Amino acid sequence: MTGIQLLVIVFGVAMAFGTYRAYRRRDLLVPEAALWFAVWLGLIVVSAFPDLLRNVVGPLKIARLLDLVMIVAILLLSTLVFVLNSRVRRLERRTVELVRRLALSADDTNGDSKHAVDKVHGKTGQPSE
Amino acid sequence: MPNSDSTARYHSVGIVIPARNEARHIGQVLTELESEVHGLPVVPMVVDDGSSDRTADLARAAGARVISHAINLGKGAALKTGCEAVIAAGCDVIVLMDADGQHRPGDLPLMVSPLLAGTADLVLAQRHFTRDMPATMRLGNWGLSRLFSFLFGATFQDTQCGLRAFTADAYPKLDWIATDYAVETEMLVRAARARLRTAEVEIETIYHDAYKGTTVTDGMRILANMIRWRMGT
Repeated sequence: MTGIQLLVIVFGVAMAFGTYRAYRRRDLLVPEAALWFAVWLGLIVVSAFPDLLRNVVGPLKIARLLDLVMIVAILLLSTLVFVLNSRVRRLERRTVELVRRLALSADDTNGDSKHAVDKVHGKTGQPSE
Repeated sequence: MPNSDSTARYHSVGIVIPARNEARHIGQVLTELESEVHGLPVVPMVVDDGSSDRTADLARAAGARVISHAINLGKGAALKTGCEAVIAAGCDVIVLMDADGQHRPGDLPLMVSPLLAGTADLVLAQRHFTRDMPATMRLGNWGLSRLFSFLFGATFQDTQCGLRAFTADAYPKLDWIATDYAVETEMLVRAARARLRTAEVEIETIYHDAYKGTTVTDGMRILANMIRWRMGT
């Protein structure tokens, strides 16, 4: 076993422990924790037993095992960035709507303004696209 | 000058003023507002967008209604809150105005006239691009206006001026999503798509603060948004 293999295994174990702590703190739901455990376990297994993937590299016409690892890593990271970006955008939209609704309902100089958003947009409060 | 028949269709004018840390100017802006425009009562509505100074207190003291965002959301969000509040209060003509004193309250009758006369749904103020305007703003405004014409086929002399007026009926068609300074451009995109009738009115502007308002970064963001809106996303 080479030094880099050992390093990746230690990294995988540390991240799995971090995932476990996040799950205990209830920062992660069961499916999320399971997904991350699978990722770290896969990383550890591939690092410890790289020959397991040799049979996959050939049919996929990938020159080296390291190239396969890099391609999978890039795909995973791209997916993660996309999901995170979508969630941040959604959170931002909800925060804006919440702050605006609180401001309108606290407008004590006009009793009707409590329902200002509903008046303009209908009951849903969603802007027209 | 609109005649009495045309003004009879409308009841009041809501002046929406988004403000963040504008304690220096907000009092004077509100004091200079007339109580009526073309015989219609004026309802000044200041949206305090997360100010850390006394903007809200001073606006209240000057007689305005004040709505406060607990945190800073941006100009677009503040304008949206203000518009919804004045419409809920029964205003059927809405004027958007900056809080830094760069727009003269004396121009309000000019802005509102085409709406009352029934010749426009949206009135845009058109600034003079003279040396009084900071050079970067002059260049940015010129560039964005030209690009808007190229991308959307509608020509406006000044796409970025914050002084605007529209009817409450037109608001749902303009209703923007942008929370930042892209709001002015998005409003025009939506107006062009909804085929709203627009009019432009020349105004004088006064620049008190060199670094307030749209920055170069905002300009780049607006540019990116314009391309995105052109692509229909």
